[in-house]
Amino acid sequence: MIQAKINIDYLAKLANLALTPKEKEQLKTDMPHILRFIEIVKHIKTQGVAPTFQTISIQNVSQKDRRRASLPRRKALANAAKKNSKYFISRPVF
Amino acid sequence: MKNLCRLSLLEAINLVKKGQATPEDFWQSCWQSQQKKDGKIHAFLTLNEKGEKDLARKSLGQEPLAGMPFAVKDNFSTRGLQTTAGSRILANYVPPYTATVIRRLQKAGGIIFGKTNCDAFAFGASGENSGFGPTRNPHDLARVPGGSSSGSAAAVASHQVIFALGSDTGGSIRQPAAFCGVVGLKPTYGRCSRWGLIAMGSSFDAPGPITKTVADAALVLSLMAGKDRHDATSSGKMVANYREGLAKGVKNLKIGLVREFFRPELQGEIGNAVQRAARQLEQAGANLVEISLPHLDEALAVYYVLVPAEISSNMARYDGVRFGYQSKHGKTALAASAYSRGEVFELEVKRRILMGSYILSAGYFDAYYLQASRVRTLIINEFRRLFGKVDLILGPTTPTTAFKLGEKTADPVAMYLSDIFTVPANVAGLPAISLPFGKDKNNLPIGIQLIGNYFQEETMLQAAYLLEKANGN
Repeated sequence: MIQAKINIDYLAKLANLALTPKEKEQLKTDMPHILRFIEIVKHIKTQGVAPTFQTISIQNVSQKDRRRASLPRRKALANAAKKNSKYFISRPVF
Repeated sequence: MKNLCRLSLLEAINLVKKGQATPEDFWQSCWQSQQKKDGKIHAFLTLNEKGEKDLARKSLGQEPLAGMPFAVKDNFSTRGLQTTAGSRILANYVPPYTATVIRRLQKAGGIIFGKTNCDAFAFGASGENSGFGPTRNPHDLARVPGGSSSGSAAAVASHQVIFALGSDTGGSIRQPAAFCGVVGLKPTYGRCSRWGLIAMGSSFDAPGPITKTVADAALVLSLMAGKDRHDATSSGKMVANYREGLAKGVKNLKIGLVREFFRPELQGEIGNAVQRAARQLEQAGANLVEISLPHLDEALAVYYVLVPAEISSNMARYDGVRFGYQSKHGKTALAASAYSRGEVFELEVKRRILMGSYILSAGYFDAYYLQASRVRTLIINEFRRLFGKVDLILGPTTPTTAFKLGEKTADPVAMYLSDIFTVPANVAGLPAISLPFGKDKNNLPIGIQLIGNYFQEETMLQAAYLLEKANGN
């Protein structure tokens, strides 16, 4: 039943991930197995329970606005595969 | 002086402070050890060849870490030193800044020796998911060192460095520490800054030390912990001098033994080690209390819902444009990014991104993500209730000792189950420590674990220190 719900191509599109046919086959086997394993969380009564998004109750962390030097452009570009002196270069968006 | 690399951090510092050895002597000893051993173990991905320059600082010998070389898991950013996170997508990445916890250790006189191998982006429990080949367990080269801080634990266990840093999202410090017979400490979430740690599960990740002794872990934690303005989730609570109280003992402490930890999958020798440790604590004046953690299985499921969800979000930044590998294929930016990710991300990385995408997708978000976040609250409440009755929880670190390379790679769920005893502390954000406690019939190290209440690392370290001494270490 779970297997029918998983559409690897759709998920790969959501995740922007190109997969090989071999990987798709492997993941089609693995993912239902993992899903069966995590299903147990669905069977626990949680009515009226607030979700936890962080564990140590730190709230409203802020700091003063202060102007600081940013990362120099040269350093920010240092790891880019393609660049000119000012910008990252990516392939066309459209 | 021979074999300096085999000393504990505190022994090493004492030797330097007494003038009987220099930081250079330790650097050389570790370097020779690494050159001799690491061909077989593969703990290191990059050595810090410029590190020797830092040894020139005159005051080094008087600083808290006295110039000691330490290894850093390769998912911590280090300025000017390659940082791959164990993934081929970052094969040539050199960060422009250094993680806060490392900067603090450097300021205290520690010197980065090298960057250690790990499961790609810290996704794994065996070290086998590294994009650069697995690390091997120094106690038996046919076995895994555990993961994901595989290289850090193996490097310390094989005396290639004096101590190391790891990161723990579901057991990634404690589990390899247990498999390699060293000490691994996961602090309370927020006790140590995550700034500069390449994100995996942002509400779970915790940097911490891997050391040869409990006292070493106490010293390193004292130096790396504390508030950081770059990490809004780091805590402003005062950092104790964890070393000072180590010898206080455990008199009148209440130690909880979780009934659910003693399950059929637990290797008998590990169960016996936990019972032996419990008796030693009792003899030292602690009171044992049997307790129950009914949501133990659910904690692992919660982890494998929430962490992939956080992963799929965190991994979106790898688009091949600003940093990392860029594919030659794909005519548009989006297609090029999909190819870049697809061509070099390791299989486990892809698996977790897809799981996270599934969990966060329309129609499943409430059923999985939100529901797991609510179960997380129940688990936290369960721990809070338990810590109303006990001061510490004692248990195994792992269900078995180190398994063989390849034994679990075909079955991801079997691999995930290796973390059953370590994950609950991460789900709740609690501190925990693994320390070596004897060996099994194959002469493989056994690790036992102490879990503490929030920010009670001091109490946890006191009990661990006592057990270490009682066990003859």
